[in-house]
Amino acid sequence: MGKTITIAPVTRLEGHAKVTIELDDAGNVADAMCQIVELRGFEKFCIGRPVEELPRITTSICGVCPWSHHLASAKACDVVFGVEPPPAGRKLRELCNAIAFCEEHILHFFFLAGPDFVMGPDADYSVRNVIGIAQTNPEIGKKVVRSRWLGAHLLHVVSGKSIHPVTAVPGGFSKPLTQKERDEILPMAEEMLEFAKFAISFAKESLFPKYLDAVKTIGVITTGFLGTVTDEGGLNLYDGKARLMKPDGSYEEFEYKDYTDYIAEHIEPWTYLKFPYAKKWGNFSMDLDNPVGIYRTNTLARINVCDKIDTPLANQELAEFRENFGRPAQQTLLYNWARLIELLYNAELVVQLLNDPEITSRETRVPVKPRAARGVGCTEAPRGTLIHDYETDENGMITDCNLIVGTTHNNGPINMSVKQAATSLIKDGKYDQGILNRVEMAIRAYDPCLSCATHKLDGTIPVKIEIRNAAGEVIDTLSS
Amino acid sequence: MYGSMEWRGKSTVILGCGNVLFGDDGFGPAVAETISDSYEIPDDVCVLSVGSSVREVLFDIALADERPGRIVVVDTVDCGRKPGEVFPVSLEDFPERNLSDFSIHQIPTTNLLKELHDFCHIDVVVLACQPLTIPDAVEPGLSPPVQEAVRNAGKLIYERYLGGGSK
Repeated sequence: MGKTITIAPVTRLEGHAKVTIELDDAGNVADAMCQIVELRGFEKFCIGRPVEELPRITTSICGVCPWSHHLASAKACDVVFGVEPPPAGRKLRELCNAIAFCEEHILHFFFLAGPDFVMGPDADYSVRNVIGIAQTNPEIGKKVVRSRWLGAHLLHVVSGKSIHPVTAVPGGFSKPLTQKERDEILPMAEEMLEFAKFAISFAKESLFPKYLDAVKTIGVITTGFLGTVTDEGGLNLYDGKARLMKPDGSYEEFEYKDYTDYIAEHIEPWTYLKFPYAKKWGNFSMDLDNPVGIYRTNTLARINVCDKIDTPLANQELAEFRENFGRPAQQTLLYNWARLIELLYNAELVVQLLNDPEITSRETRVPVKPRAARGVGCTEAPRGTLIHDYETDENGMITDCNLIVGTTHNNGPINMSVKQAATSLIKDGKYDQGILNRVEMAIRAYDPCLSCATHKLDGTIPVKIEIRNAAGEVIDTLSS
Repeated sequence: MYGSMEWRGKSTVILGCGNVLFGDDGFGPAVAETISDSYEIPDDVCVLSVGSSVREVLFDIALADERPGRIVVVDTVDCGRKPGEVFPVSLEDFPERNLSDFSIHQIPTTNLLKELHDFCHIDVVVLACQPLTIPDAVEPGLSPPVQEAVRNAGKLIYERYLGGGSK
């Protein structure tokens, strides 16, 4: 009689997810699914509201990456109003985006995915957590907190608020940066860059080598990738054009306003969350041996699609990464490595932008007037490509609204990686906590931001596994 | 209320948690705003409306050198009580085996709060409000009983943890 293993919720993610693993009569994996609850009603809530309110409102969608929503929304508003921010306004937005990325990537690597590497996937849950890391590596804990404080302080000085930002406005940025403020925070930015350099060196020397086998085997699937690049093919997280790369490395590029020509959404009966896919590649399929239309976003995708990185240290790391893993790299756990390359890039970018004389210009915004229009704003959020698509009437009131968040792009790949991990690890009905945590590792590598979907943040609930027979009766339970 | 590190150097940190887009889930942020607007906040106390960003704050506190002695988490918790009732919730009331049986609108990060209590020796207080309704879809606005509870909770926190005078 077949069994069903349910892991719910997955620990240490930004919200809820439920993993169900169905075993066949021989105890091998017949199927595996990861269900994520969708944020519902936001688009409807926006209709009838003044479009200029959305950059402020959308920060409440997600308490983890509010800056990404704030900036994507402001960019969509720029297009709706038909304006372009002045250079200083654009650079201040990009500066905030880069600082927020640093904070986010540090949080994820050291707190969410990091325990798997720092403590090991087989470590008991009671030590495989934040305090466990702090007690085992107190010096690293101190550095992490100091760097996050630097990031929060930088955002405070540049924008006035770091939790629910308000300073990106249609047409630019509402708060110029003074010379005095710039001089105050530049040394802090340089200190944050030193931490980024330490983080990637530490991971390459002390963490990744121990788990290279896991990197090569857990959650490995073959997909395409989506990310944003400059006109010259450089990595960019604030603006650019979309590059959609096939598994063989060939790619096509498009303007984000045309995303519906390239991306379609598939629906499965067992989850509310849609499955975006590359519509020109054929009908959607998550078959592990022959996937169709599946692409990934987030760090590994961006590192794969770009030709180069326009900051020197991160570009060196990119070259080394490609020497080791090729292009495009497909190993899911490499998201963590790619995340540290992006951390370095963003830390370098913050210093670079603060040294730009134009950053302290008083000309940070242009006036706007309402009109009937459509505007698509896109940024690369820490968890993937984020699209805000608004339409307004002649008074600037929202008449239509569509959002695609980073985690949604990865819905198909996450499910494929869970199935791949479960299939390779669970044999003849045998499993234990370490194996189930390795299944979770495949999900955590994507850094899914489920609070965009659930609006609640209890990601630290221990894993609960129920094993059911084909009649739906609970025949065994396991929890951490 | 500025950045997520404003708690540094404070002995008591009051965190208003919840998503203002989802009905009564906006209770915590509303209480934080009421306290900030209505009461004198002592120098050693920090009141933050953290919305749905509370985990970031708690992570940083957990790893900090100098931590506050007390954290007061203000949030909506569905315990089947009378809507608008404000009540303390002990961390022991969240046994791990029952965590997933609570409403999904439970307080955030219960395990992290336990870590802060057990390993960091912080006095963790959870002040909860029974919601009337938390919608499944985006629908901002507090119900009348929870709106009333905002004032009561603000006064209660003022009396127990602030000890200052009205503005």
